[in-house]
Amino acid sequence: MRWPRRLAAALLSLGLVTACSPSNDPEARYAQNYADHEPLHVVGYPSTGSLRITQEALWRIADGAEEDLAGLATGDATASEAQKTATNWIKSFQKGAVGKVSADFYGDGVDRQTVVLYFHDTKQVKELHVRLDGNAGEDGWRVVMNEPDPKQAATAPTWAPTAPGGLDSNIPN
Amino acid sequence: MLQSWMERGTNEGLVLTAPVGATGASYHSGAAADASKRPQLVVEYVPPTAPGAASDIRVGAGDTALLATWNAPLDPGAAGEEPRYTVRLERADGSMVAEQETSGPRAVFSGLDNALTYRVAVTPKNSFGAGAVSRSTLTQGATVAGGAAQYGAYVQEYLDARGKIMTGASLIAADAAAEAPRGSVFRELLSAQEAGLVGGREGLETQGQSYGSASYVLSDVVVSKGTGTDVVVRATVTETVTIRTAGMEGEEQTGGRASRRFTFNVSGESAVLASEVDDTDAGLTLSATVAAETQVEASSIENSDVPSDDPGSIPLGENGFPAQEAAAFQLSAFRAASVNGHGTGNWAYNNTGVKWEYPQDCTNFVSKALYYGGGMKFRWGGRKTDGAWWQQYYLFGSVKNKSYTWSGAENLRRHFSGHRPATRVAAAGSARVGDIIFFKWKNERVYNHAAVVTANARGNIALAQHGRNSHTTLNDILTYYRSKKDPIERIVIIRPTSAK
Repeated sequence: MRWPRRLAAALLSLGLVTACSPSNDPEARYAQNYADHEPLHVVGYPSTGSLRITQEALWRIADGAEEDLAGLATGDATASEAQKTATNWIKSFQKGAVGKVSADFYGDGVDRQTVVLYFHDTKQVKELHVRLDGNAGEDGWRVVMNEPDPKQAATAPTWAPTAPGGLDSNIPN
Repeated sequence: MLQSWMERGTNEGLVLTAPVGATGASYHSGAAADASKRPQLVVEYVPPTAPGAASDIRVGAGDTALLATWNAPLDPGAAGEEPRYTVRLERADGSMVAEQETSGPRAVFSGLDNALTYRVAVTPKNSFGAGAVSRSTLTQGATVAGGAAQYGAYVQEYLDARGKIMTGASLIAADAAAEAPRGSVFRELLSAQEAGLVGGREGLETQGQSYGSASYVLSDVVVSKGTGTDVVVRATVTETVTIRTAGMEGEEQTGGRASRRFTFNVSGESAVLASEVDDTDAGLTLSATVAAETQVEASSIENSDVPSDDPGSIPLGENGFPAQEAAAFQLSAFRAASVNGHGTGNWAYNNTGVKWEYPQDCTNFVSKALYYGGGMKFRWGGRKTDGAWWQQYYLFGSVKNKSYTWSGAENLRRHFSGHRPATRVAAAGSARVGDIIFFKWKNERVYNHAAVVTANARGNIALAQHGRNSHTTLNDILTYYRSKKDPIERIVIIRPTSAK
């Protein structure tokens, strides 16, 4: 019982444990990530899950964190495909992701959603698909990352409007 | 003639709606003085016809063999009768090589010449005649290095070894592979399944049961070149499994047929079995060239014959779940003969409000409908194995434990594909109350949604689901997801045929 207290005291004395230190608490990590990046402008009908995974993906692109971005992939792609997709997305969109971004969430976010990202600084547009993954969705929200071809990964959707909200966030048929 | 009334059993009614354009309702008796105002019931007789044409014929050419699959006609011609098919193999000049009759949208031709090109001609037919013939493009087989026969033999050995682990003849995968003449080919894949197979065996033992035997017969085998140096074996696998129950004489026999695809990684003369998956080409492929809503007949949902309240539905307890949990664990599971499709459909229709237990609760909902409404019985086994199907609750329902097949769409589909007697409905318009529809999106690797058919009014298929809109239609779902990049690509309609 005494040793952990000593350890805690030692860590405190070294300044390693403070109210603002990095945390394993997901909510704290989210708050820190939110604070460290440009806030995302949102249009449409996201659920908390679809919004959060979109923010996470965008932040990882902005940070250039390939491994972490690939770790957000659904099981639809192999690990290699997800890794290549992460590389492609960062290469194509990192510059835009650091700046202002708008996200248009199409349809409803019960278990899957199409999201169109608008990168204001670079004038780029990117379509994402996010969905619940794993058995009965127990792995949580993930991003479909099956774009190992750099050209495919960088391609803008031909159907999306030039500005967010242009289709009232309804998927065109 | 009154198809929907016949199919729906005894609990039927009649819905009267005002004519289109009517501004109000007025009532007249059958004895009204003005004969033109007397109510009339007009029954329209739609005479049966020959079915329409098959579509989307896909031909996979192999080594001296080919496999053809296709979509059933959108118009089956006659109610209550599934089309049969005359499948004709032709040379490039149109001369016939062989002909066969099939009851499903799949045919295999063997003994072909790899130097020649072939096409397949499919003619649907029913008791009232034959539909138009549809033809595939020309295709040509190619020789598989090392010979096609050896790959079929590998698959047979692999399945036999898996059966030995199920029955306990081999305790672990390494033993089963070592005991097979060419076990090194599939040792790795078998090892990956070991936990599930052993778990299934041990799970059955906790219920006082054991597998007596497990045998597999391969048929309609087509061996072809795959990507790169891969070799692909597509075959129909017929599984027969017997289950012994402690204290009971004899054995229960179960099993099923499934179309499977086995992929070998080949390097020089060395082959390794890399994967075994369901042969999804047997699903109903939604044509990219035809608008989704035209692939099912569209009409207003208001016209559909939705189930009425079912007096036999199971009351829900305070925890939001049926109050009869305890009875579910009795071994009387083997008594019932078949899944009650109307029971499944009615339960689903009346219980969409039941509490969600998973972030993606669609398949959990479907399983409950099959269990509480349809009377489908548990199958014990490892939680992650495709052969198992069960749920358990502990601590008054506060803790749940369910097999993957109970709660995951792809897992339940595979359960019906190879481990539970069931038929695939060939045409969407032929779906019946209680059928289960599985959906696969284009960008997703497997089927990720399931729903229960609650009505079929002239091809307008009503569904109950845990998902977007609890009461919806197949047409609505297909239309909604027809986005530019991630539409629903494929559906499979399953009709469970045995509760065991």
